[in-house]
Amino acid sequence: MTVTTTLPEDPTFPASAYARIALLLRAGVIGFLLVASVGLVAYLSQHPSESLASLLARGASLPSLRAFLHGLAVLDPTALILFGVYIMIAVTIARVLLAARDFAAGRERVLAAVSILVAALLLVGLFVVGPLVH
Amino acid sequence: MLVWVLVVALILIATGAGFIGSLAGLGGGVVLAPVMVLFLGIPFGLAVGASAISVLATSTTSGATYVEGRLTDLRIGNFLQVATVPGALVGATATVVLVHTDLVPLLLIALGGVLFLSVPGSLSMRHEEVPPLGPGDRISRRLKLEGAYVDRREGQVVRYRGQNSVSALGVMFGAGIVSGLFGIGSGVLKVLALDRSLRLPMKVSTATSNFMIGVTATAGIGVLLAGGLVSPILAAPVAIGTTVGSFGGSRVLPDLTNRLIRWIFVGVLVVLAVETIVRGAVQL
Repeated sequence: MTVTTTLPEDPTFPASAYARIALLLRAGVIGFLLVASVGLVAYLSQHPSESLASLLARGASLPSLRAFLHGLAVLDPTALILFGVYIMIAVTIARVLLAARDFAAGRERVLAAVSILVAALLLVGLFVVGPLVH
Repeated sequence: MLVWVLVVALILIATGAGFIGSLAGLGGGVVLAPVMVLFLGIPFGLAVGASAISVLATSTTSGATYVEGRLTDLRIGNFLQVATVPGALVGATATVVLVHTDLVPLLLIALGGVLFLSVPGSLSMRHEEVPPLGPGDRISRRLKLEGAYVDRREGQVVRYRGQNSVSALGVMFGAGIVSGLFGIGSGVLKVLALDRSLRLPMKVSTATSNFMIGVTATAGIGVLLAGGLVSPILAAPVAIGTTVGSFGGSRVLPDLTNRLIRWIFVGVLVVLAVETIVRGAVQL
């Protein structure tokens, strides 16, 4: 262990980079909480006496993009909750891309490439592997 | 059971799971998935889907606090994701296939065994508040996998440098597979890799694990969503609860000692190992 009195500055990730990523994450959390809470309360008020068996019988198949957007337009509770989940997914991919940008700006090519590869794999998982497995 | 009763129960359980998960570097899914299956009668696949969403919520919530406090090592976290994300894609794909087979119980028992085997190694470092600053290996020196954080509890700046990067990458790939397979974030394995392979201080290990589990979970969530294993009505209360709990946990962690965090982690590890084996045995 080495003890020093000041926190050394990382040129690739200065304090402002940490603050930026923290802000992004916080915005994602608040966005998710707002949207998902509204969706959940709306769902419960529309289905006050629904049983778990009935919920499970309905299944959880992913709606098509068109159905999802229509659901959002009419403020369908499940579409709202799904939107909240998508916000968190988008924030997660965005934070990886933010890191890639910081690495690139700091001329750290290997770590920038690794971050871009991770973001690409996340997108492949969402848009290619998922539908393929389905 | 009425859905609103289930929702209230899930929010309460998830709040506790998020709090502990945030302190120990776990997603909370390891607590939630078995509770949902064993006590609330939710099918395994849907429990995995909801757990994966809760992991994402924990990671995003705690991540904001830990990143702001510079406890998370962005350099190391981003580097190791290159191993966990492919692993999670493999694991989540396997889940969609395995939910229709009888292999899940055997996998659970195997996972429990792995967790048990990790306990002695973690305990062996129980007297160590901060690991010694080693020379690092070739990869860690080349990629500068090192950093420092202000230890609020100790009132000093602590420096660290990653060791054994290749071994850490291997464990992280396994962690990714387990994460996708069970929707649990597999923070246990990530903390083990960060703590024992890379030899980072416990606070940095749990904070960086918390940051990483969200990315790993996201890799699997696409597959779980498409496979019809994410029910928004089950996922929402779980994610809301873990968000609240992990916010509380992330506020507490900086003021704890690394030794105490290790004890919390080992305690959770033992409970999880037993629970995972029991869960597998019950399903056999």
